[in-house]
Amino acid sequence: MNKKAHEFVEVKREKLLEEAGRLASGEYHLSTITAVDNGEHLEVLYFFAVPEKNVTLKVKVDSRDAKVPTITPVIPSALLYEREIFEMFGIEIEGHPRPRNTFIADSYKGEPPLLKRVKF
Amino acid sequence: MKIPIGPVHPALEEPLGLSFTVEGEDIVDVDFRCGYNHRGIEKLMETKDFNQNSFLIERICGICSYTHSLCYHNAVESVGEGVEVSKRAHYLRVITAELERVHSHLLWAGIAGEEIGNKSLFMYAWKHRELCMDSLEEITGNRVNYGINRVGGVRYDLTPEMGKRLIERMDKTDEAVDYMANIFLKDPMIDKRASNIGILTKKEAYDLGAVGPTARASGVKADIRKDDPYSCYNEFDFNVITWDSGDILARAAVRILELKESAKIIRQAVKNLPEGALWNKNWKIPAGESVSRTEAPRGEDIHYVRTDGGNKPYRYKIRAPTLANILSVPAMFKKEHIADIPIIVASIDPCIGCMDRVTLVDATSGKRRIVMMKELRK
Repeated sequence: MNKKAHEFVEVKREKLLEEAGRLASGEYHLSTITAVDNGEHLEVLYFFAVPEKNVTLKVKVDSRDAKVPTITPVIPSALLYEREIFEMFGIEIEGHPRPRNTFIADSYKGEPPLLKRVKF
Repeated sequence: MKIPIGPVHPALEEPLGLSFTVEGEDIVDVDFRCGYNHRGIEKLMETKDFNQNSFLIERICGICSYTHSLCYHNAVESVGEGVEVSKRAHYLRVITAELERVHSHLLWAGIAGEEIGNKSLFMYAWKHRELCMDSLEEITGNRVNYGINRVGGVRYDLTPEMGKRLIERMDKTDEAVDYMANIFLKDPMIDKRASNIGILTKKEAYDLGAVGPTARASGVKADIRKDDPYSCYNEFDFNVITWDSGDILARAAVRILELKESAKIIRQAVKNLPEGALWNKNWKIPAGESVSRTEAPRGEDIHYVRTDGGNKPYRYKIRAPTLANILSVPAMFKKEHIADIPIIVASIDPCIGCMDRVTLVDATSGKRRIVMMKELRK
């Protein structure tokens, strides 16, 4: 198999915009954004594909201070994915142009459902 | 005036609520809401082991179920050192994946025909889709959720006789595809309903992250099978079909011409099917993480898995292609007419059954009336 190399790159929250902007300066594709709940902290993952490799940016945030800056102004396709991590993990997206529910029913009143402490 | 369309149809995977702002017949703005059928599969997968998930994952979709299965197995098999999968198993996976693409695109061609009032095209496409379904049933035992994949390989083999019958059926399908390509690309009625309507420019497609045929019809040459080959796709000779006009006709043309490419891949795979074991039973998934991308009939499908060394995934993320394409739909609607709503939405190949009930709201009186999709098509 001839799969492209895949890199996981850890970036600081403050550096996220800069790093994402650098990836988006050439030919790029943002596949999706997701998060992983590790209890003490949350990892936010940005899956990029650039011509020579696939790059996943990892941003670690404290669970009690779960926010990341929005990348939608730089990368328009991030709009829905950012809404999704906001709804599913309660991660605040600072400066999101159109924040609102897209995936979870308006009647759902519980905690963000993909957090590990939420049981069904 | 605002026209909300959708959202609920419980039998389909992605019901979608669309809200159109119209001035007379012209659409000036559109907003949408999805997630009406969110089933929490990602959360559920954290409670099931890798073998159980192998079945659960195919239940995501009723049409392109196999691409999720392929993506899942590629993801878990490449965590850490990776599970070795024989070439024969990879080839069988490719055959199933391409058969799925053929049946999905034929299904789409039929639905597109119906949306623009060409019922004979609908019947014709679905008649020939049956050949493909027969092949899938013969190889895997199932028509929809094939269950052929297992971690470490596949369950069922392809005998030479089955391969022969498969090729015969593909020849027949190819003839039908030629006939349909002729209709889609030359029929004046289809031309009137499809060309220069629902245009998605190359820049929009690129910026909004469109994938699959939707992106390729706008001239973005993106195909995971070529860009990031998985499951031995680099060993097959096929072309990535692109079209420049970005309208409905382009999306139809890309899909119809792709059918020929899929048939080409299937023929090569059957002809060059390597010897080897079907299944590597000595597998263990270590702690780690992995990302896998496949080219679903509708575009790029991406899965991410995080494991902790146990028999269950710690976290599993799925992003199906329709979510990536849905952002492009509002761009396609700008300045189009209400009558084109069904075919424009259908042109990205979502699960459009969710659109079969429409509520018209008159903004001035606030009155609500429910009309069936049929009425809208008139």
